[in-house]
Amino acid sequence: MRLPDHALSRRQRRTLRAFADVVCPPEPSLDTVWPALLGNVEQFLGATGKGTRALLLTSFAVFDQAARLTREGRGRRFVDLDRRQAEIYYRRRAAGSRGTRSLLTLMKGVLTLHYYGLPRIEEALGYSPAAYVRATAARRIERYGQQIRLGERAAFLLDPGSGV
Amino acid sequence: MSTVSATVPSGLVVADDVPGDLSVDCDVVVVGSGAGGASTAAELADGGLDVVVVEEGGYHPTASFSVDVPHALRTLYRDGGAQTAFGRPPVAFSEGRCVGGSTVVNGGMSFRTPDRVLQRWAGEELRAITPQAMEPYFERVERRLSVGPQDPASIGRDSELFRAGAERNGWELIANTRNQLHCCGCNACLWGCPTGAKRSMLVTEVPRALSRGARLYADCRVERITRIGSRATGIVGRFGPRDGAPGARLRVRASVVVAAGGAVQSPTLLRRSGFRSPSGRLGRNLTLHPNARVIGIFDEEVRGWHGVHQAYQVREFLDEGILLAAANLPPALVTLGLPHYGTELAELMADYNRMVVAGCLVEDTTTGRVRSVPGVGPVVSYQLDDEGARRVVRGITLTAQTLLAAGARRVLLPLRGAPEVGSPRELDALLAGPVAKSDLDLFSVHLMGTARMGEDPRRAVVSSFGEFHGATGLFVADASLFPGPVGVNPMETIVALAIRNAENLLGNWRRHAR
Repeated sequence: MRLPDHALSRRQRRTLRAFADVVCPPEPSLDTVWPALLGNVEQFLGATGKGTRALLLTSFAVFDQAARLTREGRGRRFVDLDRRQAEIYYRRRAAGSRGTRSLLTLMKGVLTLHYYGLPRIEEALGYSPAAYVRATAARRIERYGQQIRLGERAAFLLDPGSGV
Repeated sequence: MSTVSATVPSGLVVADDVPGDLSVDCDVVVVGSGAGGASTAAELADGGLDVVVVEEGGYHPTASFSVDVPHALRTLYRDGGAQTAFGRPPVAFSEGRCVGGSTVVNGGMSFRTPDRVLQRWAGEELRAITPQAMEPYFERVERRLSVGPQDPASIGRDSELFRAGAERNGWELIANTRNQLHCCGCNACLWGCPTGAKRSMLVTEVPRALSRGARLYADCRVERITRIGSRATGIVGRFGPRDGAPGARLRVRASVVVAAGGAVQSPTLLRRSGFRSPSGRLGRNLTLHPNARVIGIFDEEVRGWHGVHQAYQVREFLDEGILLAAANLPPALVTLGLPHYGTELAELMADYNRMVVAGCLVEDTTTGRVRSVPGVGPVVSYQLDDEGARRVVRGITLTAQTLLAAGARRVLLPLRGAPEVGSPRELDALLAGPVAKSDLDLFSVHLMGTARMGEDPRRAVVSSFGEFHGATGLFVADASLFPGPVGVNPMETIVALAIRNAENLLGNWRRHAR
């Protein structure tokens, strides 16, 4: 059974993209990974509970609109700030009250988790687990194949170890 | 038919295979297929009962597991792994939601309940839960799940560095025992073991139960336990949506219902179904072993993902309720909770292969609560007390000391606003003053105690054998049972109690059969 995606509105996508431009590393260019990153975030939101999803989406919306009331924003939304102003806006909020900091950590976590979960980004860090898993799994079978078969069979016995 | 359903074992039904509403009869219906549920089902099926298991999560066979972290979070974890216990500080927690439950996504550590914990529980009106009485059940769990030490070749450099740090400090350290069969140390435990070496319920008790004739319905959320008065009579559930339409309904009529959905879901289901504990403690008494993560960055290349997820635990401070360990995480999860962003985050993560991720687990000194909020679901609250905070800060200090003793050049602490430290002196200076509870960054994967067992219905929710006080035909079989925190990884305790209680149910079956 496939879990449903949570398709974001155009406005929500724009907010997330502006947020990702600040919190995700500048290299490689976010343009090159954004479709995959956004797809993963939408699928993640589809998998989260209603409460968590509402909290996250409301937090992004409030973060976007609240920029209007700040010195950096001067009436403009977060998504309309240039990169430098957007970063200052984020940094000041991140240094703010404990509640705001907690929320921003959560919002940032959603984006950086999915950013660093992209295979291309993992490889750039020298993290390539798929090949490692393949190699170690093959070695396991080669070395212990017979013992593994016996052990797996034992799981189905009434009293493993007794042979009954 | 889905690709998954084409390969499902006999007796296992997934949502895509259900043509319409179903109604089935059986002796026992078990809600949940994790450590407690699958073990109960296998034991009862072994004893000749007709057993039905209903699991909210999907069926994901070993061959489907990959190292795609976001995909695993979405498919194997409840709410994408993003759950929170509200309090100051909030505690992030995660639970498995798939056939096999949290055993599919845990680190595979398997320890007996410490004697001191069993003795403490025995003093709380628990019948026959002593180290001696539990011994045969632990032995049985260990045989069934192949619990044993790791093959030395599977232990990675991160674990060896952590061990060296603990030994340099002169601290007692143990080699972990794990439920594994020649685990090769591919470090993918948390995303579903891709080799089947981790002996989770998915590859042990679930197939054993199915081979004894049990039926398992996956992708089906139990909406409520049906009852006549205070007697449980079965469950009503609904399969996940299909092509945008609501899923089919499942009705199971049974002589006995066993709730085994874990310490958050079980009390919520029981409450939702109208069961009330005379003790008023259903959903209360939540403990969660607060964990805090410390990252050490070394000059040498560590590649913590080469080798088993966790190989050693520092047990020196167990009497203080503190346990330390190194456990590698993939880059995606390392970033969670870090204050770094943008260029600064990129610079930090460039050192990923030089990191050792470690942490402390502390035994709770307070309890939280699970409430059921209509339209929202379970809401978990947990307020760390002063003693708990002191333990966490001490645990963080000890973990950092271990990493520094092992040669870490920089250590990142889970304290909001704290700078990195590079020496024991800097660590001491930083932690010399008070630390605000709200500055602690905590998480948990061990939730326990919300339907605590005990013989006194005024103090406990279920009996020593898991039978719900004030109801008939209703049992609980998961970590909800624990009267208090177990202090170590809880899976073996859950399975041992489940087997013991299932054996008791079989022995008294005449009383329950209808």
